[in-house]
Amino acid sequence: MNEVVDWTPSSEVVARLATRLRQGTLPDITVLPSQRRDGDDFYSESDSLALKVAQGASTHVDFLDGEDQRRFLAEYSADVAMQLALGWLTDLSGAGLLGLVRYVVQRIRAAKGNGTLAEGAVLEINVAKLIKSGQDLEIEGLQIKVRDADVARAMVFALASREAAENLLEELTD
Amino acid sequence: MKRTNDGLKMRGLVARTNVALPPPTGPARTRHCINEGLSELYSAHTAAWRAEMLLRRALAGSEVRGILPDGAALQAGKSASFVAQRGAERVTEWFSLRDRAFDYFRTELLLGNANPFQDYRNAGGLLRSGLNASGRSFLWLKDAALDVEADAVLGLGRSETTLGDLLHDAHCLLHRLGEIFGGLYGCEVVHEDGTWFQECAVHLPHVPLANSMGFSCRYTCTVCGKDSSSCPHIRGVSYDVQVKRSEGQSCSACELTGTRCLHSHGETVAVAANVMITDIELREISFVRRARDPLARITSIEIEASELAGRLGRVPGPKDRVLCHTCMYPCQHGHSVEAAAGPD
Repeated sequence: MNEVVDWTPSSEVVARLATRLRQGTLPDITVLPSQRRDGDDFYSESDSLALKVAQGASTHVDFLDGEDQRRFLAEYSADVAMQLALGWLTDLSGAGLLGLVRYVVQRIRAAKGNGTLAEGAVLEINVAKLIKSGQDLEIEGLQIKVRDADVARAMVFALASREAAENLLEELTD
Repeated sequence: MKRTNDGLKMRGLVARTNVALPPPTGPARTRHCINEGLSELYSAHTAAWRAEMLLRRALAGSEVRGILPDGAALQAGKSASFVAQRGAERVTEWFSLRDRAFDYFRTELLLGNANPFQDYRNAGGLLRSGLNASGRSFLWLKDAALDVEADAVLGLGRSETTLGDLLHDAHCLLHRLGEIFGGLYGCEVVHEDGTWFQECAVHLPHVPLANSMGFSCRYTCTVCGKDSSSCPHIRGVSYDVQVKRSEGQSCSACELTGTRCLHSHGETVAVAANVMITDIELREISFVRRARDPLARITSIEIEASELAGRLGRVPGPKDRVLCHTCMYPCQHGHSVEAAAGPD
């Protein structure tokens, strides 16, 4: 199952992203709150590993919110095994997208490693493409629902142009 | 206290603290549920075996020998009328058996032999503990059965079994211990603030509703005490930490207090990093098909006064002793894994 639909982060999340951009502190990949309940945004339990997974990687990963504002939502849902929401600061090269895909694959491996994600599980990955336009920020959001094994391919085809996608996939395979 | 769609009041366990909860999903959850289910099943069988030994000794007289059922759980009911008829027969049979047992205990007591009645009393506590453990085992294994096929083979040291067999075992034991306890000791319907509640340890684990607590929180690292999403410590990996202890406070390494903690202040010990849930803000409690904690279930459910009046011929008074016979009725949920896990 591969499903790609439009996705829009909440206006509060968009405002906080714009603030980080103005402050010049927006990382390559921003971990966004993936859960919204009654008008509040929360991180999911699996997001608590978001930075540990990225340790040693060349891509800069950070939470949208500082430690004091970071709250996690704990509840049980048997439908979707893992939900991620990520902001991706786009660049003209494909390196940024490769970094994003590698990061997501690392998150999946970490979840499988600690036994919280089963083989063949369905993931929901929300990606906000962040396009800098001077001091303004344009956001294109996509929601990708995909089985774990198809994540890399689905993300590349959803986020890159068709011509670039094949080359990027080859690079990923290498 | 919550109300169902029918307007009935109910109470339930929403959260347990100081226990390791299973992960929300994945193979680690399945492993956790199977391990807990096996451990509870072992406890239940041990308590059941000890209780039955005591009961057989208590009921060893020729007048009462062999009154315990043969070991098979109550037959599953195929229809409501079968269940009602067979259940009513079993209640009558058990009343008769219980009368015979008490006549025997009285006679022995008059002869100066208090041992049979003492054995009977001791067996009651063991039966209750085995009944509760078999109910918990049933819930853990039922959760695992949502992810794993019934014929999945599980290694138990030198032997093997299937999840379906374990679940069947827990289910049968639950009914058998429930029937013996209800039959020989009797369970009461509880009256509180004008409402009658059923707290049947056999029926409630079959109710296909679990309590899910939705809350927001922070995760704190047990090694450094900082936000675990930012600190460098990896869960499960051991780190050297310096013990901090002061009067009346728990030990920073083992969380124990007083003489239970063997660490001394300033000592360096290896501690496996873990995550503590802190700063909890409760958002909602809902009934779900599958909760994070399989034991977070309904613990008592209202019985309407009109239903009791129908059974007893009058509305009972608050101080009346009203017995519950649910555990002596056949199971209406079937014995197979599919049926046991099915409608949830």
